[in-house]
Amino acid sequence: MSKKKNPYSDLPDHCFWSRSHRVAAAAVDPVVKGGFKLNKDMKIATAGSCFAQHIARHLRKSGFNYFIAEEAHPIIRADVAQAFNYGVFSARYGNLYTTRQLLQLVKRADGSFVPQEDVWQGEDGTCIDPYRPNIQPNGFSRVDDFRRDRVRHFAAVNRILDEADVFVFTLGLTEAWRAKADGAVFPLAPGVAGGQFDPKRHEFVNFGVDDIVSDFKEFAGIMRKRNPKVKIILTVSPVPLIATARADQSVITATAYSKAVLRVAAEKLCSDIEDCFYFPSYEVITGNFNRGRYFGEDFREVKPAGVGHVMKLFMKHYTDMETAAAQPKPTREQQRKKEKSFVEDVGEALQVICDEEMIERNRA
Amino acid sequence: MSSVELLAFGHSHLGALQQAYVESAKDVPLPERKARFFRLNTKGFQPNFVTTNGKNDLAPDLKQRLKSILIKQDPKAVLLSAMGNGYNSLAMLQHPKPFNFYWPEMDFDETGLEQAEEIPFDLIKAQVKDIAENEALVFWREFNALAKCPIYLLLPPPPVKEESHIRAYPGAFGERVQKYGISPPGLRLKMYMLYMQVLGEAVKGTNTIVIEAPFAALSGGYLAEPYWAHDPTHANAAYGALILDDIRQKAGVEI
Repeated sequence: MSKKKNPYSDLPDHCFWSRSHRVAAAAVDPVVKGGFKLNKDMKIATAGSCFAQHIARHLRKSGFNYFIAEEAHPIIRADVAQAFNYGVFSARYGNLYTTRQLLQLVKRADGSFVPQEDVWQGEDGTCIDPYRPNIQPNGFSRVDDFRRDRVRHFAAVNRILDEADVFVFTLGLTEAWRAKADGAVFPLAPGVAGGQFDPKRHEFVNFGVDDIVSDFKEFAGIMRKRNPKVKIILTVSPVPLIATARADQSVITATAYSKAVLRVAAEKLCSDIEDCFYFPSYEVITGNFNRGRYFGEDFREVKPAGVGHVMKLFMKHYTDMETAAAQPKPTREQQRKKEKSFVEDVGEALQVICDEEMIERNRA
Repeated sequence: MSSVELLAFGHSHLGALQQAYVESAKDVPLPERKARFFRLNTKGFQPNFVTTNGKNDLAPDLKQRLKSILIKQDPKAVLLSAMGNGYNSLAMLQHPKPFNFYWPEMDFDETGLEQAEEIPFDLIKAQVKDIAENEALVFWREFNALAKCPIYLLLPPPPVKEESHIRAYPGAFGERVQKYGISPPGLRLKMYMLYMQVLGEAVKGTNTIVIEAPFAALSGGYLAEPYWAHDPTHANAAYGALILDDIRQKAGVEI
């Protein structure tokens, strides 16, 4: 006697926990199909929140053409360059936690948006860039240096828009602080890593799905106009909020809300934008199958095993090689080392820099 | 307190002073001389460093030896001329990817490197500081902790402008001078001034007095020809004599 058909009868195994995902945690694979295959000639640019740094670092180490448009001169030692945020992302924009930040960055770089709150200058003349407050130790020593550096930075952002073959963006937060005057969004609240908070000038905003979808679509439109073939990969950061500005919410519920919004926005964007694909790193790290083992003792930090799992799946579905089998061509670092034989060359510290930590540090 | 007034410690740049002192005190018997020179690059002071993850610290034996010398001699002043050529690893030879940096305090740029890659000022300064912190300042911090008397931190001599002199006397740079070429003098001078600034800032507010190149030894900011040694970066005994005069005056030592 044959089984009766129902709407689930012919679905593939990955649609069922029982058939596909009741395996060892490290073997769980929620990716059904990669959107395309990366090759080693493709210039891959990354931006977004802290978690995007892991993707950037791994791609670089695996010999892919990780696109760094804003690079330190080879005489600068790797650890000095890293302290100045060179190579952390494709340009020195620091963490772009929200899509509004991303959109405003490209508009600032093409000159179509000039925030009124341009620079936070201390009495000693040092300057903090409100839009990348932790980009270098102690800020910029003079306003001249700040402005010259920003010209270089914007040029690098424009190069990414024009030249990247793949753009990987990690959606990080929905909560942000902005200027009331013109809506300029800061990665950190004024007063946390520079500037002064002024309730008359600054306000809290918690972006919703429509805001995020609209911002990213506008960004993608700008990029595609200049670079029609660029492919986009979206991820959602699994790192919980370090703090919420919503006094009526626990950081736990605020995180759940924020991640849900980002996840819905990512889904909508991938259905609405051509060649835009979602990669489920969020699910791999936060999934119940791993029983929280991918988070560190502070419940926020993602452990290397979790990153490794994500990147293994990324390599499996987006390349023709798995991580372990990768035979990288000389990496950018190796090429740099050749140049840097001119001066002493040292290994690079692999440290994820998350300037969101400043919120907590400032409480001490 | 012993009869020694000045203890001088350092590497190769100390040579010019030592030579000048030996010349000036040639009629004074060795035990009666008021200044003692300790060349840290000689065997008795080696190794200078223990290195962990690329960061230098003074070797424990060296720390002990320096402490013993300072306690035993109890000088009026310490002169320190440790290392000092570190910045030249970036400055002396032309990098395959030429660079320059903008320094707002300098109202001119005579590097001729307007088309070279510009390194942001804060970044190049951080790099020079990184070198200083891993070399000269490792010694200074130890002396600053040990010495009960003022420390006179001697900066290296300014660069020689003329490329022909460097080519004639390439010193430790050897064949690399031919291989890479020499950086434009303006860049070498800027890097030197930046190194001076970094050291000056590091010792600010301590019992350390920075000894810069005497005005008489300068020509347009570079080392004047009478003070050139047969070497691309070091000065001669005449320069050492000028520095000793400066120390005598500033430290009030009779050496």
